Amino acid sequence: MSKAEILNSISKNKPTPVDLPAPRKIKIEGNKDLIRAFADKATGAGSQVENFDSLDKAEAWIRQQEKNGKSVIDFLQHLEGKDGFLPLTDDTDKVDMVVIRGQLGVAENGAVWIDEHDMFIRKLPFLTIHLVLVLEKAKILPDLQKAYKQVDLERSGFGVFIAGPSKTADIEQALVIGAHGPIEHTILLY
Amino acid sequence: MKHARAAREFLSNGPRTEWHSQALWYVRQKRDVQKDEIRDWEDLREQASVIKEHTLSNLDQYLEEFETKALKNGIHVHWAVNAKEHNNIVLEILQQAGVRKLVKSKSMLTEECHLNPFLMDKGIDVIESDLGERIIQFADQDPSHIVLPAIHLKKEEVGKLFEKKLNTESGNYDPTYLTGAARKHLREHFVSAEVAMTGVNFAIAESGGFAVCTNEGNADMGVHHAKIHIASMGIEKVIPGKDQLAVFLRLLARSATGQPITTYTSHFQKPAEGKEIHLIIVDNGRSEHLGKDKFWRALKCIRCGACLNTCPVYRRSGGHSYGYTIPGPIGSILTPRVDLKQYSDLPFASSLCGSCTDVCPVKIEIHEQLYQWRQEVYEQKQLSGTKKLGLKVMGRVLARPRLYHRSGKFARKALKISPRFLIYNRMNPWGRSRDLPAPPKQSFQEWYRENRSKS
Repeated sequence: MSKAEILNSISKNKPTPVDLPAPRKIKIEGNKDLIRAFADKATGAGSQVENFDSLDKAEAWIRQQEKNGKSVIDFLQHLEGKDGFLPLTDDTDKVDMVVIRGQLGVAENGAVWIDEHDMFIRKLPFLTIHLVLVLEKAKILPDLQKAYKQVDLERSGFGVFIAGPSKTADIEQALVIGAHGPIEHTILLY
Repeated sequence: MKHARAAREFLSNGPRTEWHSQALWYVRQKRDVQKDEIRDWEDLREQASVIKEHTLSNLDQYLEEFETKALKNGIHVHWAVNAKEHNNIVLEILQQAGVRKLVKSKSMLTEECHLNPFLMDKGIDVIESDLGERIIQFADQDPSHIVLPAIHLKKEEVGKLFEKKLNTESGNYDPTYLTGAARKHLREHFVSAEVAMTGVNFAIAESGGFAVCTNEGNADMGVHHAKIHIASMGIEKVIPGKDQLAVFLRLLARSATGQPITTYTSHFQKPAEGKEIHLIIVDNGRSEHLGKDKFWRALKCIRCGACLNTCPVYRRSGGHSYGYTIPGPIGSILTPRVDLKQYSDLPFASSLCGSCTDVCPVKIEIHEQLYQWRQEVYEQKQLSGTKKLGLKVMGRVLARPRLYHRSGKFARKALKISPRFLIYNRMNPWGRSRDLPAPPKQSFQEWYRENRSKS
């Protein structure tokens, strides 16, 4: 009923049709070196960026965190699914660090795209104290418009661009890192 | 004169007004730095503007396409003609689930619908989870800004509220400490949430999902813990596809808070296994607004708040002075269609300087619409008495050159010799906090005549 009423009202009231514009190229000022530009923007958003020359070395960094006593859920190691992790997520204090492989990064804003297939449990990247995203340098794209060409929204039920740790400036515009989500955010580039 | 009266109260504390104005100007400056990084910023704005005009002029088709896809994705879609229907739908979902607590993330639409008081009346515990929204909920106030809801409060005031509500240390007003206390307090609510609610920044017709942008991660913390996710959107939030989404996302956070993107841009496509997503599509006067030839473009708004941050009147009168959910320049062109009589003064709460139009990421000609609404207010006979009289006299004088000259001569003399109370009295609200410049000795015409004959 309400649906018909709303749609009728729209069709009665809508203005003369305007054509959809064809996408145009939008230029950005700044660094031509995509990896550098990405790292700059990510740092600006509060991320720590670590550079490695191979995935093995990035993984060694993660093993070191475990040795330092952190409880780590590492989705590079456990790609088979969520079994085994679910009990962990009931106790928020137990998840010190979550490691997820990023699908692509965006140089203009330092954001990394992940979807449900990369972490199985939607709340994990938000619940953890320290989120680690592992990203191949070749997967960095210059801007959002190019990034969305590659993002497949229908691949899974949930996807998210993440740029840095959670933050707020709701009290007198003072930036505070660690609002409701992670307090630390590290990107391992290889 | 409601806005003027409320603004006077806000202005009574000079240093505080200046503090408020500067806080917003700081956000405006951060926005400028970000927009300068995009060489083709104006092209990007133009694209965004035309995409919105295209979508709004085909809105019924896009909404139907969106609904079809969303249903296929397993999302429950509800339609609400007005606020009452919207609120009842939310209540019904809660009642059917047998849940008495709702964890909410920021949504201006639910503020517009007055959802919180409605639910609390029915015994539902409503927890706002955005820090700014939680603060003003504690303070029992309305948001004073659409992006920065507690921008009008000082940290000492927030600290005192938290002492009472969250048992924080007395006298500790450090924003990091206070945010930490809120984090701990809200985590308990997130983890125990059964139903969580969010707004919608963009609904994507081609894929039937929607995007929600936050910095705090509160939207995600709520909905991923809860069994049921309720999301509310105005009909104007739908866009064609992800190519267009990219254009808007490049503009939104840059314009809003001077960030290249918000921390989280979450895309909800399908409910997680064993969970539900309910989406409510709300009209509440928007479709009627779409039929207003001079004003429909106001519906292009993506709620970034840039026009508030730049507005000299908003910065010095505060969000509450507007008396409506959406304050500032954009609010002043959205409210008259809600109730022209009640909000007839808002189109006048502007200097028509045009700064709002310059910063709008979707190129709404805000100051021109403000001007048009003023005509509408006059035509609908909603102009206040003093204003009407003033305009009538002014109109007569300006239409008659000889009368104009005579009046000018008289005014120049009269202003010089009149005692102060004759000029600065209740009939001259302009002069309440300002002095007129000293009257010139002669008019421009007199000067011109004199000097032309000399040369």
